[in-house]
Amino acid sequence: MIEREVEIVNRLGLHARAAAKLVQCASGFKSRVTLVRDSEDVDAKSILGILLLAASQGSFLTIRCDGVDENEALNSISQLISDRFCEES
Amino acid sequence: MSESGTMQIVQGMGVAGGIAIGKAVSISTRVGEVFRIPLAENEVGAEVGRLREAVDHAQGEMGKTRIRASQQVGDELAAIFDAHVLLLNDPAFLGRVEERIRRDRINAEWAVWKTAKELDEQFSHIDDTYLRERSEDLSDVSRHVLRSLQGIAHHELSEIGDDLIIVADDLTPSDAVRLGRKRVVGFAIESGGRTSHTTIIARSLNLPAVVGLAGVTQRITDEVPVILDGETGCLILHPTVEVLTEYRQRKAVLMRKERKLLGTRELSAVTRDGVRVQLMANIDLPEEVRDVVRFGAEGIGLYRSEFLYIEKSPDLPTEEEHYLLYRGIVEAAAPHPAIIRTYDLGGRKLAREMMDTREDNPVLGLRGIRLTLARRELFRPQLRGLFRAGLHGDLWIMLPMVSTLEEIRDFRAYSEEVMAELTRDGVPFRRDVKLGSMIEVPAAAMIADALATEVDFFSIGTNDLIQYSLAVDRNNEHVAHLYQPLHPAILRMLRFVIDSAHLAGIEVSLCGEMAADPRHAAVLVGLGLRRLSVSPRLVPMIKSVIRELDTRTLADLVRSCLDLRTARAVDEHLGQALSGPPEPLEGKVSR
Repeated sequence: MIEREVEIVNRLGLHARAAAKLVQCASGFKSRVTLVRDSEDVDAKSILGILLLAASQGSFLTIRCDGVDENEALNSISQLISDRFCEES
Repeated sequence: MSESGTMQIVQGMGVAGGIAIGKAVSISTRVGEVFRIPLAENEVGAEVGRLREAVDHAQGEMGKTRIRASQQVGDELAAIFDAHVLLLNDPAFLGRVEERIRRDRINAEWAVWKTAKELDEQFSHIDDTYLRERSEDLSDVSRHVLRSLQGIAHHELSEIGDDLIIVADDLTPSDAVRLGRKRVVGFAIESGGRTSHTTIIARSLNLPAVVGLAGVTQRITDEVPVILDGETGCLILHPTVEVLTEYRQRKAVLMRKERKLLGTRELSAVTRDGVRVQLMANIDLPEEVRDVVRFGAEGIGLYRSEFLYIEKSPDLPTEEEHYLLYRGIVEAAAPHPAIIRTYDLGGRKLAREMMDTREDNPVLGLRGIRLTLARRELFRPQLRGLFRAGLHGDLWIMLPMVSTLEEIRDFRAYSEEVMAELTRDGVPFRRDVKLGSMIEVPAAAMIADALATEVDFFSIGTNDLIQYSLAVDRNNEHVAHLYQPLHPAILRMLRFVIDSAHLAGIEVSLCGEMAADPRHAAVLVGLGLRRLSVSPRLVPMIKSVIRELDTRTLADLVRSCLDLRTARAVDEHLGQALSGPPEPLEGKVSR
């Protein structure tokens, strides 16, 4: 199992479209992917969980991956977040 | 039978007669469009299946929306629908809904609504405004599922086993249609008035209904034994054995009475002087066609087609559905005609996607034939179905809310178009179905002579004709007393319409409630009407009235009424002539 802390940098935070992209990305991997914020953790393959996490701009999350492709999963998801979900220039 | 609990009687107002004995099903706590309906244990599995089917359907719909959106607003924004599709698949949502169905043994609609509400509550604690509002996405998704669920046949209440009495705080016509089948034997409703659509439906299903039962949904739990008395307007919870026995006897007496009235079925509606009056039936639901024959009506004087539309909601009925329904109706009416009214939507009757805008005064707005002509494409399946069904019997098409001659002409032109299309498609249909105009707008009544030269028949709709002519809403208690069917203005208008039809040699019938009042029916026959259409159950009663009439004296009587100046004067004049003993017929000259 590996994990990494990331900052949510896009303006609107983990809103619906961003959350959808995150779920689609996480669902592409076999590993179990969890997002942790404060003491709360949610399944990154459940959009409802991510929306309820309510991570706005500037909040910090821990991405935790566990499984055969955990490295790829962690890198892809971190990249997506730092790229602001490819939605802002 | 009182099981647990002591007997209680709740008094309301009986709006549809009869007695029902059974178990209560509370579909109270209505929220928006959602009911809570308890399930029997063996229904739970099927209900979960129904939920999954609805989710699949909703998913398909959203997929389509996403494609349309990406074409219209671009892929980036359309991605919002990806979120919706994901939400729909999310076990965190659906799993909870399924669990709720199983745990609480309730219907899928309620489970979806309740789960969404719980999640909404969680969202409301989020600090970030933008993210908090994502609960809207969730509401949108649950609305989609609810819509899909409503398109999928509701679980059959029949599984519960006993005769059921629906206890509800309110019922819309579409709910009543959906629920009023199978094992449902009566409706007990908190709100509601005498003329509500639900009442009409209860009557047409031949089920007792009691309204105005204040607070009853709070007092009832499911499967409590109840008696519903549509005659005295009360609901009895936990009846004692004695009360139950008494009601069983009363029910038997009522049924005997009804059978006796049915005995007149073979008799014809002929006046004492040998004039035949054709008594037809007004029906709303396909199920009622059996009542047409059962109560001895000769044909169908009004079939209100909008109930098909309501029932298929949220989908639009297909051409095939129209065709099969109308075919069944004309075949049931044979050898007599069946008059089918095209959709009378708009006004206060729902017309969802057909209406683009809200109207300040819908009753005077885009409705009836106006809506048909403005949204032709939506009516095409209905018209095609009608022309095709015409092959199977004597089908007449009637247009509602006609106020100008151009509407008839436009409709004919459109019909030609539709028929040309059917020919092109090689679909068999009947070209010469009769086309008639409903006479319910005063303007139509006053140009009846002109209209009569361009239509094949008239059907006078007195309910609206009277309301529009006298500018009175009969449901408004402050002016209801001004709703006077015998107002000289109405009688003059009726005379002109009937005379115009006779002069032009076209058929004329009347399908308003006026025909169902014994004294008014006599006036109508006196005015020269030979075709009346009433609710099937009232046919035997009106028939017995007609068999007592004599058109020779009646014509003079009505002629003298036309010279009177007030409704009261007419009423008194009629009262003296009609309430006395039937006049002995000198010489019995009837043929």
